[in-house]
Amino acid sequence: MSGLRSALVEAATSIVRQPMRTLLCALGTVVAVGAFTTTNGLTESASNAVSASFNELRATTVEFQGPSTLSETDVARLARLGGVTRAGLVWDLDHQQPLPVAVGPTASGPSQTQLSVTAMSPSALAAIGAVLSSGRFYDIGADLHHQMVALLGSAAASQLGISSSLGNPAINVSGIVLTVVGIVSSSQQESQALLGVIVPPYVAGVIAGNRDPRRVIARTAPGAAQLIGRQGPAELDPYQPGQVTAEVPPNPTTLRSQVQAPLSTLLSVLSLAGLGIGFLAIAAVTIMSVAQRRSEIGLRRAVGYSRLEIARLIVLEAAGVGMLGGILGTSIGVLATAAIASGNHWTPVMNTTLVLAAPFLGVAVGILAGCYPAIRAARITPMAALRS
Amino acid sequence: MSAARGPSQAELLTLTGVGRMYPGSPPVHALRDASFSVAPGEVLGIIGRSGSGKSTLLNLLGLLDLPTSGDYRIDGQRVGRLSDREQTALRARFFGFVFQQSFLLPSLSAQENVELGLRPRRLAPSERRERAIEALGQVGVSHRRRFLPGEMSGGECQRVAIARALAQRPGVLLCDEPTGNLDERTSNEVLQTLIDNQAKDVAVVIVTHDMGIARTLPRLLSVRDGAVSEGAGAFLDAETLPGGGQR
Repeated sequence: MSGLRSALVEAATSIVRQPMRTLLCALGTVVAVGAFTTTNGLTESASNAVSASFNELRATTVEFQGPSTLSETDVARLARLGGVTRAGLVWDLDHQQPLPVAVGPTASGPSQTQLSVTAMSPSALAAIGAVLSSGRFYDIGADLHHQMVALLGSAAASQLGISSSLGNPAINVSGIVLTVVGIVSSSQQESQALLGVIVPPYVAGVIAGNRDPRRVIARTAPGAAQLIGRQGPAELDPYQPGQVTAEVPPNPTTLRSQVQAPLSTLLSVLSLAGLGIGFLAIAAVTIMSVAQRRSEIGLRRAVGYSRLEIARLIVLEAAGVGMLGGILGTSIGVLATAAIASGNHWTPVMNTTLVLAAPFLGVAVGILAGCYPAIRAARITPMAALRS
Repeated sequence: MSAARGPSQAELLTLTGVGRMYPGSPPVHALRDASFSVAPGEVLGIIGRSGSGKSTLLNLLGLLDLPTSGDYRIDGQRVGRLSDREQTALRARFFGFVFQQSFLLPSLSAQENVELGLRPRRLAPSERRERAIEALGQVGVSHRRRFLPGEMSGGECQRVAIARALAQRPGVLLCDEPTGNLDERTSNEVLQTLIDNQAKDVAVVIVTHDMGIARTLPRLLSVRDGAVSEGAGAFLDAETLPGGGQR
């Protein structure tokens, strides 16, 4: 035991007293462990980012496309399905063709421009997660009482020079005068609608008739989207379900595995390649070091070091260098992961066990890489070494 | 065969018909039929021209190499049948080496270099330190113990190398051209340091090709073409041959 302690002290002395040799020797491990830590950190962070991209909103929204005959009643039937939390009717007027819009009651008022007009039922506004910057949403009463109201998307409002719905400014859409009751600043979905005018279904019928195909946006409970996607068409059009198509979000678990599998494989290959480079670097530098230290090894043999003690010293030095490289590499890897993840707007995620184990990976690489040079060193005869 | 003195119980090293042949075509007989002995505390010079076989003889004496023929005993123990580990242990116990180059490790201080020779002995660090300081004092460089080899003169480095050998408290100090890299004055000082250890019952074997140094030694062996003979006669004869060197 005292022999091992003495050897450890000697190895540590050799590592500390020859900083340049140590650093050169450790460089390979720094790169290897750094690459290993970084790639694993990036795998974790990317995986987390992939998970985040399949968040609740995307994974719980089903969009149906159907004929122009789809109505609020059909949507109400869909909303009664277990797993549906909200559902609303949406369609683009005149096949998304922009319509002339002017501020004021006349069609040729100031700031006349062309804007898209989208029809949305009040429940659709909730389903898309619309947020107001000014005013209020229209409600079901707007259709019941044939109120000629509209909402403006924030982009459209600024294009028309309307900064607030205060005072209920009037706009003219294709000759129809509408009162602006609110300005929508953002939406989790249907962000295209923010570029134009949003009207209730009755107003849409007045402006463009009821000939445009409908969309139904349904929000579901987590995990229910696939099922609702299958059952929805029959609920929306029980007689001709084939006329309704469902756009279901991909299964997050499957997609995540599809994205992660090649990523993990690629990064694992890179990690292993890095470790291989580190192994070769330590082995090469240690072999060179042994060649340069022939006379030292010969002297040690002459004063009584056994072959085993020489080999142990070389392996311990390589292990120490590996540990140093491992610590430096891990630190660099953690910093690189944090930097790259931040640059991609990901949350840096590291596996703590892996980070703590990485320096020992350096030790393992050092020991393995030091074995062959140690055997060579142990074979050096004192006579030949001292003569050289 | 040359035998100056017959082996006795008191002898530390005893060689009887020892030879070293290096295989090749033709094989090289670096040492032939060497028979002599070394007593504890004896100072012995081995003189010969370059390539005569004197370093081979020193390597055999110090178990850095093994004879291919004959019988070599250290303190009565035959060495030819020892394993590498046993040879290493015996070498560490009996021999201290001083080479033409000091072979000090440049990253270690003088004291640490001396302690290096004691590490295989599993001594307590405090005892190792005490022995190193004592040995450095014996050769007169204890004031330099914290200096690195690069901060010391060649003579001081060689003294540290002698201290490294003495700290092991060897039975025999084997010196291969120990003053070969030093100027005359430093050379004499180092030589005196080595000989002074005779009083401490350490046998000293000095290999040299310098007759000036050899003359100061009480006993000489000459090596010529691998043959060992008592006295400087064989060496002096060789020097008088055409093409011979200094006298």
